[in-house]
Amino acid sequence: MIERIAFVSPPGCSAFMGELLDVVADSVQDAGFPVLRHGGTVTDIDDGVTGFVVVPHEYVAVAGRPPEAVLARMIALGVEHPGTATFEASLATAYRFGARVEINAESVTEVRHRGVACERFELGYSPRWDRRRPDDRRDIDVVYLGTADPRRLALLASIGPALARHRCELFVPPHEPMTQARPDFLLAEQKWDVLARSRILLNLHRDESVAFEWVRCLEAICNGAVVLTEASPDFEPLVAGESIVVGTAARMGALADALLREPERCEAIAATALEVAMHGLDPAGSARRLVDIAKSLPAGPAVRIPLAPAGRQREPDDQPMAVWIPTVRDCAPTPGRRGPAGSLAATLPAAAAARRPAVDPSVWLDVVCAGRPGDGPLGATLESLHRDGVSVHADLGEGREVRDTPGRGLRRNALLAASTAELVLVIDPGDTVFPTTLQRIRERFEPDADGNRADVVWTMARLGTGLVNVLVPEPRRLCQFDYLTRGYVVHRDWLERLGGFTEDPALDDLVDHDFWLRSARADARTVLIREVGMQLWPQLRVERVETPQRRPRPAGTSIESAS
Amino acid sequence: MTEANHLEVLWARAATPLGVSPRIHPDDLLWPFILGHPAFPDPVDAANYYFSDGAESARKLAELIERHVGPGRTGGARLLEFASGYGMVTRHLPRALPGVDVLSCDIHPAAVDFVRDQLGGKTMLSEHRPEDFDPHETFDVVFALSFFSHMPAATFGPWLAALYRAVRPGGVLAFTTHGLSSRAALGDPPVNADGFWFMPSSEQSDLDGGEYGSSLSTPDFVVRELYRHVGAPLAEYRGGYWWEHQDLYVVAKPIPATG
Repeated sequence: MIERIAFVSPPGCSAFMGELLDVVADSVQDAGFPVLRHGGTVTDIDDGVTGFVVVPHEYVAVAGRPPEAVLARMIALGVEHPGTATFEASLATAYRFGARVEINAESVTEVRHRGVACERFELGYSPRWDRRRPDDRRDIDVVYLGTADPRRLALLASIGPALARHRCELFVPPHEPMTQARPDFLLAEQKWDVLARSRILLNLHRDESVAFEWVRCLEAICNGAVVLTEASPDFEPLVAGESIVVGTAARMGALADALLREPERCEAIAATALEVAMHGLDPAGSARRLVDIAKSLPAGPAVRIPLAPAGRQREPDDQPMAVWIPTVRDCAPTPGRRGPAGSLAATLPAAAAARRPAVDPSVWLDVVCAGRPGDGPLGATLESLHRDGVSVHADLGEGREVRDTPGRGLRRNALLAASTAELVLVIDPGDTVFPTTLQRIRERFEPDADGNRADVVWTMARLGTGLVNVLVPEPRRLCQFDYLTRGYVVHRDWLERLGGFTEDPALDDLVDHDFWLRSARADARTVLIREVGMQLWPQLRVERVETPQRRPRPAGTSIESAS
Repeated sequence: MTEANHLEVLWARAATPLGVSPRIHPDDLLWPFILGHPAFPDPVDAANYYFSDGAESARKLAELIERHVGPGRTGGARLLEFASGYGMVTRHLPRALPGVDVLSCDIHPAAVDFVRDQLGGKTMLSEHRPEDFDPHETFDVVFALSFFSHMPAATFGPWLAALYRAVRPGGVLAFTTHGLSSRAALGDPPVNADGFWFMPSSEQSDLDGGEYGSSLSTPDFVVRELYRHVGAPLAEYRGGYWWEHQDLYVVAKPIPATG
């Protein structure tokens, strides 16, 4: 008979799944059954009497399919939502396991509907997640923690203006396997700390799914945040209006706004939700059922394969790139493009030497705005920058024939040379800046305790119906995708160090991409303010871009996963 | 002491530290406007404001010229101060802009005479219709302070074009408008779909209100007028810059490419 349960995740698996296994393992341990948490493969530790709980599709994709004899002792912990490709991959893998449990009720129904036995593991309150503080000080109004996909980003873009007057933290990592924390993907203590500082967790469904994101929402509830979510058939025993707030996507911004105006109501909803998590959900009962399931699995001869096969474990840089990321244009730049040609950058150092005719201390920000045919109305841009201490320098190319109009990079460099402020906002005609954005950006240029200050600070921005400037600059990703564009404030010193904007006519459509790529390669200190702070003129469409790695894989080998 | 003498004493006390003439023309309607303003219940404060604010505008103009003409290159530069009135700013220009050749221009003959005879400035009389305005020369900087804040929509663009014609290639036209920051002070007037509002009256009660009233123009309106009538690059825009509410626009006249 099975005498213990090991919760196993091999190196290279999603860190999010690892955290989930920890919580389930805690529940089983609290139920009084021996547990083991193992970072490796099942055959590292198989002794014939251990049952294994793994996240099936991730495990198999990273560690390979275990021998049949061990599969019989394995329990698949399903975490994906019906309606998504990853749910199908998970189920296709789990089919051969000894048993299956799912954390979502809707998933249980769907699995059983397909004739496969399955039980629910109901999550609930976990002290592991709870980082509430005695003072309950919450300096973040709205937090969002979810991977990027077109639907979610379109919703965030539509909600963004309503949220602009509040303090937001939108963590929107690319949809790809996450094995470690990154600036847009928080793990463990960092994540729980942010939730404990937040008033509202905004929860949006991924792709076509309508399933409730139980893990993320319970983490928020355990930290005293109100869950504001799209509708789902799956959130009982939570009750809309009492323990969570449910609305259509179109009303999310207004609902968040209304909630934040009623802090007492926020606190009451959060308290009710916490009560439900502690007493209305039954992770202990689920743990006991999981133990019973494990005990029912057949013990057998141990199968030991001490070392994982070579090449099975992925190094971080070997990970496939994003499943989907929010790009600026509908074609990826040529992979490996190296940025500006040699003709670049001869002008700006010279211009820098000649510039600063009269530094005006009352101007803290110069705005450079070089237009081209097809750009938006400059008046709208100016109106959005109607603030003291901001000086706009524009060149729309008027008075010239289109064919004679110099490129955007060259004209930006000329505008830079004619301006004086230390900080420079780079936008194009038609782009508009939300009222509080510039002040928030300015604050982020303050040096830290070690005297270091940012080189570039930016916010997320609406572009058409989507959201761009969402991800942090990474050279390897920028070599493949044009995903960061204008709408950033850069310290003049950094621009001059780069030699200004590219003036290569071949890169005239990629002036900002080139800026980001060179900045990333030169290790610029960049700060993303995780809010929607601008509306960019829709010169370019936001399109779905797939990398070659995104071609569908045979079922059971996918490691696509997301929080 | 008569009231007039009393005022002259106040003006002298306010003007002397700034090294400028203390004289204010009896028809200078800015003086009664300031004197009657609730922010200056004491005539001493009004006198101090009249002279110090003129000096502040001259200082800002000097900065502007240095930014756009270039440091160390202002000497010998030519400035057209358009709608100079009775010299509230003009009197400070020799000190603020040493070496700059200033021509002051206004629609009031008495103002032109006063600036020439009492303040020692070079002057020209302006025209009521923009198409008639021709200074017969061009300037490095044409500056119109709080002139477009009084123009109706019909002459806003034509005056931009007229003044822009007076800018030499490589120079700039600088002007201020009532913008979005002026809205509250104007009683939050309804701006039309073009981004413009006009009321046919102003503190210049001697001028036809339809020709010189009070207007509010959004950047969208101004940029469109610039595009229609001037077609020149906007070198600089600063919202709410002048008197903390008027917008500043600086328009550059490119040097034609050679060859």
